[in-house]
Amino acid sequence: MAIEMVDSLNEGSYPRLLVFCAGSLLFGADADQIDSLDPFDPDDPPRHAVPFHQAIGLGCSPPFRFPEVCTISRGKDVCRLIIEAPEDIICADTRLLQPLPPLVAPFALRRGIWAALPGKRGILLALDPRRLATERNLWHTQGDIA
Amino acid sequence: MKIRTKFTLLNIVLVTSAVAITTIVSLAHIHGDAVERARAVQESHLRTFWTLLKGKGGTFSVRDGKLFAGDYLINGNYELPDKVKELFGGTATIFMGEKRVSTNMITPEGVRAVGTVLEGPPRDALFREGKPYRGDAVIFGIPYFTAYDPIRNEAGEVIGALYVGVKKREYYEGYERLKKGGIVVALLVGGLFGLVSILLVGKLLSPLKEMVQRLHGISDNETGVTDLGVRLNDDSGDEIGMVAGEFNALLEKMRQITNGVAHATREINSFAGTISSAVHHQASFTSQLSSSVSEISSTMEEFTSTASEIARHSQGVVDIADTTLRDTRDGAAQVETLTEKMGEICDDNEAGICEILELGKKSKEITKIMGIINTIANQTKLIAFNAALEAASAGDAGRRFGVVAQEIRRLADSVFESTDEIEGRIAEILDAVNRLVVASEKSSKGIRDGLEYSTQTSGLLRDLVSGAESTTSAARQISLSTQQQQTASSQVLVALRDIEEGVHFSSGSIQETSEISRNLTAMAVQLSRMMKKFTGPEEGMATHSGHEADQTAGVV
Amino acid sequence: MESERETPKSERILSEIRLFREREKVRDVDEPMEKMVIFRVAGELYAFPGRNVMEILPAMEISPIPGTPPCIPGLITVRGEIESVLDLRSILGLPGLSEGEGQILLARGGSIRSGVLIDSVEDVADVPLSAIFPPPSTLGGGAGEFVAGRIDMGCGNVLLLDTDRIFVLAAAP
Repeated sequence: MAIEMVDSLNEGSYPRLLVFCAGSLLFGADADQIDSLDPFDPDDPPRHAVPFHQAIGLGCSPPFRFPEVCTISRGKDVCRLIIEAPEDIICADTRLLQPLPPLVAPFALRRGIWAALPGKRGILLALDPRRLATERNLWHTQGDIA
Repeated sequence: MKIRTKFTLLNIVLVTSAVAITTIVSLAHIHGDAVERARAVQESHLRTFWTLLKGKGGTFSVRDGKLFAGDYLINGNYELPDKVKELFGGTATIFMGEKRVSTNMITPEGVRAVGTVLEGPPRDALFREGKPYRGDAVIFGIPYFTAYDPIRNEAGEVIGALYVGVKKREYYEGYERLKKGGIVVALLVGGLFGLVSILLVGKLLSPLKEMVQRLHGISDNETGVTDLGVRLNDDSGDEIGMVAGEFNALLEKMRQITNGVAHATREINSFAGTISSAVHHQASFTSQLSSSVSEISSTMEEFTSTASEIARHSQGVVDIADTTLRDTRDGAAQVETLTEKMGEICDDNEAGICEILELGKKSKEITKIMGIINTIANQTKLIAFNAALEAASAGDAGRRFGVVAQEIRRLADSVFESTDEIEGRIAEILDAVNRLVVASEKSSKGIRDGLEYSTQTSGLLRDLVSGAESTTSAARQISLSTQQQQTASSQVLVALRDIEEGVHFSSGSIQETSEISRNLTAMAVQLSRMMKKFTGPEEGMATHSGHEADQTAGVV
Repeated sequence: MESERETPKSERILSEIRLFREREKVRDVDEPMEKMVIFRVAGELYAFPGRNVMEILPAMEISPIPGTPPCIPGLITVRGEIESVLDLRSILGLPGLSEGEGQILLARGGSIRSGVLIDSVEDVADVPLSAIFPPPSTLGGGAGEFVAGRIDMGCGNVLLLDTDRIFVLAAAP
């Protein structure tokens, strides 16, 4: 069940969010930041791939059903997150996208969560992956052996 | 006559014949030769004689009843014949006409044979046909080689004859000697060859003799049994050997046949034995059956008499049962009525309890509804709170609004109150219901006990009734059964009679089968005996089967 | 001390309110009143000033946010608006867990607005200022710094809380 598609013809309709689940939470990662999405092969995991719930600090999480590797980069640095297969890509209407309440914002931003979109399924948390990678120190320079 | 003798005789005959023929032929040739020679000599003699004669005179004539050769007088003149004799030996004669006028032949009386007359074929040839004669003649009882020539006169008339002759015997002497010798030789040779052939033939035919002996030995030997195991010597490649081989084959076949027959005989024996024992069993079974049948018959009769007694007794039972039935039926009917009434009371009670319980259930439903009402009241209260808050910030206008909110609040509270009360009531009702139920249950129980009791009584009575019914029906059944039994027993008797017949028939069949079996056995014995006369490698078995056959025959 | 009857709460409230109303009738006209939102947390009665409470919300699902401290359970949606939630029990250091059906007060403290998770709202009532007393000195523990006063409701003490302070603390770390 994807989140209802927002009318993309409306003004200010950006950014595109890649919608996926982590546990019971719904995230929308900035799609433009994502270099690639590849199926995750447990027998041949990519180097430095981090499970998303671990990256974002969700504690325990149910096991992946259809894991995929989401690759983001910043110059030569690369970060690979293992996420549950995305359900949809939506264009978030900025009129509906709300900044986080002040009590919550500082904490959330430190995890790359910068806005929330209420919906039928619950609240979609808008995610800035690069920010997450930076805040949580997930970048790896290409060619790192460690 | 034996072959050997035949062969020997044949040989001898052949040899002898061969030798004889050879000898005879040779002798004949010699004889012929001798004759030829004799004739030649005769011719020569005759020619000489002629020469001599002609030397005396040229022409021949008869004058004064005397024969002249020219002027030479022949009659009584023995000069020439003697000369001939001197020269050659043999006889010579000059004939005047048919009369011997000059000769050197001596009659058996010892004088010259002048004046004798020529007789026989020479005479005919010479004087009738005017031809010379060459041939044999018997003169004075002695065979001679003779040669006659006619003497002709100048006119060509036969006036006499010239004769030379020699005794065959003289020429035949050598021939005779030869003949004798030849015959002797022939006989010797014949005899020799005869002996040799006897020996050889004997040798050749000895296998045959041996064969004969052996074959003879098949049937004529010490054991008195025909020994088919005998085999002939068939080594020699000749016909005798072949015959021997054929005989051997024949004997082998015969042996096989006899073995087969012996085997078959054994089989027959055993089969006969089986049949016999089966028949025996059957016979014993049949007799058992017979005795069983008579037993059953007697039992059936007893049975029949018992049955009638039973029938009588059962009728009495029926009467008693009928009375009992009537009485218990009445009692049962009364109890039934009582039970019905009690049942009604119970039902009413039950119905009452049911209704009470229904009441209880409905109360619970009410409670549920009350829960809903409470929820609504809660929500209303929330709204009232929020309204109150709003009112607080709205100033004077808000106050009135606040009052309204308060009223709403109160309403919600009163709802709670009411629901509370209702709950209390319901609780009371439920209590009452419970008490009622308990009480009702008690009375119900009482009624139920009573009901049960009456039901039991009813049941007992019914049992009685059904017991009486059963008894009656049982008694009737017995009556019926005894009737059926009588029918059945008469049927049984009929059946037994059938069986009896069947047994008789079976006995007859058994007898027949026994007979047949005996015959079989006898035949087997016969065969066996016949087989005993033969023997081969299976000698022992043949004898054994004969014993078997005898035993079986003895049993049946 | 629950009786076997259902809804003992309504009994208690009823009696409390009755008493209160009596007093109210007396004080109603002259006395300066302040609206108070009286509620229960961990069995104890507390109050927020009415001006700090914008709305009382029924129990609803709170969406957690990664990285927030335990006193901030997460976010709620109120008529399309995203609001944060503070767990008052956690802030006051009261024992137990705020689970299940806790009502939420949409409160304001300083310039911050947030939901405050409580157990249940008891009343929204006008309280005469004369009934508001300073906080008792016997208060201990973490709750102490948030108590602004004590309200004598006749049926027991209701601790008035300092909403601003609570929010400031919550916003601080």
